[in-house]
Amino acid sequence: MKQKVVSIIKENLLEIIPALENEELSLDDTFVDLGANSLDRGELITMTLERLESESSRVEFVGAQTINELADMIVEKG
Amino acid sequence: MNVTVTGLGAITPIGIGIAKFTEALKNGDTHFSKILFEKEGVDYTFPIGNTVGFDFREAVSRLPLEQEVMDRVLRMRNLSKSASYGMYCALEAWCDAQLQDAVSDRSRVAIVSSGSNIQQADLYENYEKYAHKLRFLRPNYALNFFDTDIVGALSEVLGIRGEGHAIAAASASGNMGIIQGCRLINSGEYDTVIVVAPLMDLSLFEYQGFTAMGAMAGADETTDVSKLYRPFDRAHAGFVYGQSAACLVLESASHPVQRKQQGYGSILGYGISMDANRNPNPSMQGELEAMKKALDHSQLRADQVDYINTHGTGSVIGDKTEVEAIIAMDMPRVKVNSTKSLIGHGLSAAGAIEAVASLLQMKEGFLHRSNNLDNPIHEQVQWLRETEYTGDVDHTLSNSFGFGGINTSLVIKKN
Repeated sequence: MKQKVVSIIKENLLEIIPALENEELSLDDTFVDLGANSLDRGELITMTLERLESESSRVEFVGAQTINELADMIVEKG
Repeated sequence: MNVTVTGLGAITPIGIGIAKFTEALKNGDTHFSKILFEKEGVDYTFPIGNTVGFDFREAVSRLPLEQEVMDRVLRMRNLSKSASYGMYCALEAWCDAQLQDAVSDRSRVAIVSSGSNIQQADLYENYEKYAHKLRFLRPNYALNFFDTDIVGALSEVLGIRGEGHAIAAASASGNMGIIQGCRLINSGEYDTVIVVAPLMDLSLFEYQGFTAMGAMAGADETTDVSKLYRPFDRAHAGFVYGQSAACLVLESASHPVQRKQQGYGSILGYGISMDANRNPNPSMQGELEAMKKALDHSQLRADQVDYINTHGTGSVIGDKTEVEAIIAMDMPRVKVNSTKSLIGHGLSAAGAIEAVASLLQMKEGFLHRSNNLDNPIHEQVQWLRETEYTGDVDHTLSNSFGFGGINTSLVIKKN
């Protein structure tokens, strides 16, 4: 499950910041370091939850700083 | 007044970019078709002057922009169709004015965007898409729905740090934007103002609303759309919407001289009046007042005007009222056409694209034909009908009138 979530997050992140296309994406880089502003991070969470058809609210995930953290929280909260 | 127009940008149904639009005006081209919607099992058909073949990234990539600016444009996400049309026009005009190296202090540059509720198609698409899953609505919606999204986006791309806002006056929004730009320059606060009129992108609701009101010409599967739109012709039956966007770069007169830029022309003056009437119906007195004020402001006599770029929407009462106002102005030499007859009615962008059309005609020394003007409603006007006119055009009056009794007129002088 986590693998699937991570790959969806990555796809969405590339859609939001296409410049990351040729970068080595570390799962532990912070979104800020990857160039995502707060609005981009909100988009990323919403797009990911939509793809997973999650019932969770976006606000539960605003604390996630990295791909790993976000993926873990999504897997945990469903 | 002391305002020079140094850069132009345009997207219209008959040409994308200033060069193609100029050629199309000379040829008197048109591009009308029909747009179909389906809602709850019911089909809706409307006429449209449609713009095809505009690819934002491809079009922007062809502009001679600095690499840094180009990178910032191409990184932009979530630009609505309306905003992307406006952005292209603004960048084309910025390049055309050769401002890239000329503006050292970007706090002396302002941005004015013309029109309100210009992104209706985009908003409607969001309502439909998220109607049953609203919790997934993208956070960006709360940024993008503002009409000023184009202002912020453009300021980021070009590093503009002066002031920015949107100004609206229904179908006179384009002219009001230009007037606002002139006021900002005349105040001495800004050397340069980018006046952008993004596409007014209609949703099914606006098409249906205008049609229900009787303002938009009706079409069904049997309608020959090439013959439908006929401003000032006896068989006129309402307006046909056209997808246009435009930009004019305005500068204080001394500013472009420093870099030996002559510019297309000058905005000599403007006139505005209201009819004290909330409704869509026009007023001869109000239109006359706006034109008179524009001439007074320009210190010009009526017999010095060569050409009127009419509001000319093809509305029965609107056309009649404007002709009466023109005749009352007593301008013996004046030639008259309707740019809308070729490109359709751009609504909030109409005044801006028609000012662009006026400047291009003056620069190139021609006046375009009016489409479908077979039997004019009045003989006392020198209509430009089937053939274009070639010769000097020194002074133009460009009219734009909006619902709610808003009348505006610009005087443009050739440089």
